[in-house]
Amino acid sequence: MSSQDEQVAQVQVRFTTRDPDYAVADTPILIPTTLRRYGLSQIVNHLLEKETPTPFDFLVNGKILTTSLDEYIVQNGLSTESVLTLEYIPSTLPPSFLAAFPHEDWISGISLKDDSILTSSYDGIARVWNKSGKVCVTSASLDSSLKSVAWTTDSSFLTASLNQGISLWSYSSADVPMDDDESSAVVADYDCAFVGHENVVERIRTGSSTLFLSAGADKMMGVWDLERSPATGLPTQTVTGKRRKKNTEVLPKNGAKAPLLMCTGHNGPVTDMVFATDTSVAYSVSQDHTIKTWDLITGQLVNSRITRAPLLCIQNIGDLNLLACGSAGRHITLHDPRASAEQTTSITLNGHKNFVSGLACSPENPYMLASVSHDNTTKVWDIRATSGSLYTLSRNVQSKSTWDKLFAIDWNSSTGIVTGGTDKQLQINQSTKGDIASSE
Amino acid sequence: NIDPESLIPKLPLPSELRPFPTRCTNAFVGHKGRVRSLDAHREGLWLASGGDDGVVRVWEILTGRCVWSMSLRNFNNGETSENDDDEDSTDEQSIIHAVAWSPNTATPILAVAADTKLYLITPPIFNPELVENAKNAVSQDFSESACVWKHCPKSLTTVLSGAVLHAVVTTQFTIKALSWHRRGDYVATSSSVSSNRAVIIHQLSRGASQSPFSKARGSIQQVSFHPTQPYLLVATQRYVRIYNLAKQELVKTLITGVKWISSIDVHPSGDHVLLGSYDRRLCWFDLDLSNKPYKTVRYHDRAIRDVSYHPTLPLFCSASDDGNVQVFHGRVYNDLMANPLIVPLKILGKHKVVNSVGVLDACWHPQEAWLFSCGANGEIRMWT
Ligand SMILES: [Mg+2]
Repeated sequence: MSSQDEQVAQVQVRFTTRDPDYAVADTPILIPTTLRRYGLSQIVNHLLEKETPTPFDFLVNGKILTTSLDEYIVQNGLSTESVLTLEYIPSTLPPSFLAAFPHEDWISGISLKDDSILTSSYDGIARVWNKSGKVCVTSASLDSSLKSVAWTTDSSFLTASLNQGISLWSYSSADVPMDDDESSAVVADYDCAFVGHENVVERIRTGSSTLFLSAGADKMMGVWDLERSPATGLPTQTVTGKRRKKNTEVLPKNGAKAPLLMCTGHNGPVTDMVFATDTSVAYSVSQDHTIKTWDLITGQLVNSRITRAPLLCIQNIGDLNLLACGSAGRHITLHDPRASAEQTTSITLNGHKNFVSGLACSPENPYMLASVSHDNTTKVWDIRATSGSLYTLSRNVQSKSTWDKLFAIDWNSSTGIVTGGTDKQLQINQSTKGDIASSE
Repeated sequence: NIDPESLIPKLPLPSELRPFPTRCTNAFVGHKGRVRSLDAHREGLWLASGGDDGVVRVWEILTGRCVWSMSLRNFNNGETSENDDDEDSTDEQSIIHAVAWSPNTATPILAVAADTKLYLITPPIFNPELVENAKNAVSQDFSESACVWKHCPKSLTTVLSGAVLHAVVTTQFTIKALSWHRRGDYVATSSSVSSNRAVIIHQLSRGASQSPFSKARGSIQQVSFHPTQPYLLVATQRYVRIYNLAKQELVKTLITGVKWISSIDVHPSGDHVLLGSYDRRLCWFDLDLSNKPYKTVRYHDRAIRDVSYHPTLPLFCSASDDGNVQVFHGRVYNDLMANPLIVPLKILGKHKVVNSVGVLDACWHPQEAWLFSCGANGEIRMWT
């Protein structure tokens, strides 16, 4: 051994992976402790002897390595004598900017279905965009800002509005103009109104069945069914003058329907909810700081858990049995809904500088999620890396106000990460298959 | 040998007194000129504002979106917005001095004071049932009384942008401050003049106004209904007088020691009063203890414009022409022997100061430790 080698601390590591395409021999090898992700990635690629290198991330004890091995060993009180097991996974690269579709007004909601992008806006209109940026379908204006949208089928969707309404819109796919078609967007038929909320409907969520959920500022979560909801009357118009005339021009073809259930128990505006993996259960979040579990068959409150801050959004990471909640306290918390209520938060993701207003799960990686915030950024997280987000996506358009905010996000594999807010630009970022040159 | 330091009771650290607002997280953009008054609706969804541009606005608190606005200038000029070329000039007739939501959420009514007029409005953000309740809460058969009550002229309904204007009440002097009685049937207005008609109590269900005092006791700065007793607190430049309206008698006079009172607020328990003055003093009165301040502090560099207790949390604030809002912990105890605990927490700054005007008003979110402040240059900020 040369004298130089003696000065460089080394540690034995065993490289493992769950991906058989990238497997290497699991004999421990001796490497310098100064190495970080990039150096470790080079070693694995060397062992793999593939023509094109693949960037990797490394997990130690289920957590993504964000420091050098040396720092990790010191921070965790380990010894360089023992063998360190490093699990490696192909890295995901920052999703790159693809396109921005300008809207007339603030974007409040986004729902993706394959290549179709559905948005809701404060101008009161919902729009279906194709990937080339053409508006194919719009809803009619019901004279109130929209807060949320959700696809129901390939050619129908729901909108939720500031004036307590939920509306179902449908169109014929055959009428939708093609890309090169000069004809303007199809106006969807106003199919049905769903009435029962007494205040702003903040969000709507559809699931795998005909059941859908609504979050009300009236402290209630509505449970509705496209087919089974009972018919009811339309609320009486109270607005005066010109507005009355305008309103009565657009009436639902199939009248109005009432909720199956109104879940009561929250003590503040309900802001979001998700179906559980078992779709007879749902979780709701509220400005009252709680996450509540509901039995959707009976409408019974099953469980309630209090957190530190007003909650604004929720996603169910079903594969991992975790609920991710975004809060006005600028953080995302992860909760195991099966754990007893006394158990406190397991993981907190910090990094946003303002309210976390929306969340979306990665369509491919069960450990990844993306968030939007009133700090006007989108962040992509791997919940195994709790020291910070993997990437921060900024806006492609120059912000005109220091107070620009993002409200909406959705993420699917065919379109990517789609976000919107007060800058009126629907921004699409798409994951790129990585090459090692662009890492670190 | 006793260390004198050890005899001073130790105050808890601010970090132990969370939550309290620490940073500006949103701005409500749209007003021109001074924004003089703010009020958050009890349910925590809506913020109302008004000021020199003569526009009443209602904002969605979480997003900062203006969801409704109405120009009193257009209302006074009879709808014609064509002559509205001089947008930045102020029109005395439409300067809004105060906005306040009825505390009764079953009858959502926003009281707006501009010039000599009190406007009672239900903005178009409430469900039809509540709008109907609000309509029923205001008599449509106005009685002959201390002020003139008028219906909204039919020709001006478009100016309302969908709102319901229940009544326009004209008083004798420019209204500077408003206070709702907790049940939402009475609203008191005050004008900064020395007159027996400077304080007027308006009753919605009767469509009538009355003047509760027969003689003038100095220029009125602010009035406030007591949260639990049938009392009205009336602040003149140097004194706060507490009247029992039911018995028509003076209950107590607070000797403030300040030169010019700018604002008062009554603690939700009803046992304490907060006072701010143009001579920079903030006073806390414990009504059970004394008619002199329990504590007086002078932390601001300029006049205090507004003081405000949080409706549910042990917090209060003072807003000043120095551009800052100061946030305090203020805990009161049920035990009569225990003095209130007051701890300075945070200086929230800085608002723009224009022509020596800084922060004109501040108000708390009804549930959260969130604060709203407004002032010169059309600024409204939210602190969380
Ligand atoms: Mg105030």
